[in-house]
Amino acid sequence: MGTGPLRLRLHLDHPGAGVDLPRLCAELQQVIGRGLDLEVVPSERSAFCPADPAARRALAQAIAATKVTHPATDRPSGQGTRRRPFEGEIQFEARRLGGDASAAGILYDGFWLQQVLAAALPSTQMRRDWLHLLLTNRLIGTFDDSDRRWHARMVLCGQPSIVSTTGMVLAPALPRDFYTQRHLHEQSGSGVLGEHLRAQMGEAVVQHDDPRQTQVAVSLTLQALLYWTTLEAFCTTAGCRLVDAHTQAALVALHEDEPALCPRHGHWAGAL
Amino acid sequence: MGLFAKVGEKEISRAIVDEFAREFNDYAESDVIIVGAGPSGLIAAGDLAAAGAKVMVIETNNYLGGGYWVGGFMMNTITVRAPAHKVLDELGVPYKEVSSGLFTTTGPHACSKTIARACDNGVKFQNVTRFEDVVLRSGIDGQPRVAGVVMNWSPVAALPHEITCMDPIAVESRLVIDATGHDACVMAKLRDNGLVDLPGHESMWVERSEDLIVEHTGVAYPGVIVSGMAVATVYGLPRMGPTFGAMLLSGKRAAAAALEELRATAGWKPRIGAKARA
Repeated sequence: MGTGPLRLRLHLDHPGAGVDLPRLCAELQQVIGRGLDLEVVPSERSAFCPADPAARRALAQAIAATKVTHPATDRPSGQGTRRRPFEGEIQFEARRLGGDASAAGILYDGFWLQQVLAAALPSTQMRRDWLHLLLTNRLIGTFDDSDRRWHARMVLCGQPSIVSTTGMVLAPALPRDFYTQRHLHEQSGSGVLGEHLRAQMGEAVVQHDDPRQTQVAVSLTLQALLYWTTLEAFCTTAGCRLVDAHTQAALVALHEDEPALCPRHGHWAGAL
Repeated sequence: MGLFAKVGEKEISRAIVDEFAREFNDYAESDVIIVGAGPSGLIAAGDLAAAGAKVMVIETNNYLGGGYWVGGFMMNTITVRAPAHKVLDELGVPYKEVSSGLFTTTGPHACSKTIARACDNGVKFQNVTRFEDVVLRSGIDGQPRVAGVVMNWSPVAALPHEITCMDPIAVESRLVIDATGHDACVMAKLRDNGLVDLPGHESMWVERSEDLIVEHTGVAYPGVIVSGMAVATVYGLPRMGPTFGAMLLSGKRAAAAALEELRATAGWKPRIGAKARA
């Protein structure tokens, strides 16, 4: 680490209406205090939204190449090993970078996307005392070799870190009853979508554009900071907001009332 | 004295043949050929014709509308989510809001009004006609460009190959819109010819796929615009449920994209006062 405060730069990529940005920033400053130099990077200055049309197109093409189009068969791979993206996919990503499109639902290879974004950052900021974090509604996943499946993620730590608001909704497991009901509806051909079943669960789970996403985003940003400064991924102390919540029930329980850090990580935050 | 005018069989036959031939001759060269007369194709056709484009729609079935007549589980209530209800306003289709942002109407009413609007705006329908292949030309950049379609009567495909050899015919256009649903027939033919690699649609992450369909609608290959469910196939997007909002808005977006292409095409002029063909 350098001698000055950690520079955290937040980049916004259509995080959605659930995230109250001023509240998120205030909460981070409150938890970490003077050890954090926090800035929300305006899109016109963000390395992830190049103003130059050629640079934007190049980034859009690289991002489009990280799509996981067949989760059942696609495997993580490096650039150039997948099909070349269609022009329409590149244009969609370019519109997203320019703010003219915002749809979520595509699964991106998280580690590959992270590499693409890292390549867009200025080399002078690829240092331990700089952390860039993309707050996005893109759905990111990582491939788990142990079960040979893609898993959606809420956060991907590293440079840059990625926090996904769609991941907050889709990554943690839902109550068993949801999967039973969804299976029954699929088998019966009733036309009832999982999306509607999820909506019926109300506040028991984090929904799209849920105001609780602000507090969840604070926790996930703290996780990214913890990893960046200590290489420690998560906390295992019950009740600490740095616990890795695998289920919606755990995620909701962590963030009802006043989410807090355990004493050890409270000390870590204060010492930054 | 009968109720109807005294007309012989030969006059009726000549009327059918002459009118069909005259019209077909006219539309052997169109501005836009839309393959598929489902909701997105019909909306795109109506919008394009209203803007002065010469539009022919090819539909493999005898009936137009595709799956637009019924919603999920063969029930003919269809649903759209805001803001797609504004398209129903435009069509003059009554609906009701069953919950915040969710609207229902009947398939027959919505489908018939959409067909009628396309007809009123001057769209030529070529039903019972099956898309067979694309016409490829060299574009101004030297790259292949789709410039029309090869088609044949649908029943021909049902005949055993051993007893029939009925060649198709080709018609030309400045643009082709692939509105053939999950089959994405036009793009699939380009794939078969080794020109594109289709990822196919996915079913894993089904939420919010309507937005993705609309936002990906546009040019997918030189001379080809994809619309509606074909978009999911072409770009490997999640499948959608039985809701029609994205089909309607995708059709409108396809029309806008086609008009943008046409306006950038040298020599294209909209037909003034385009209206229903007599």
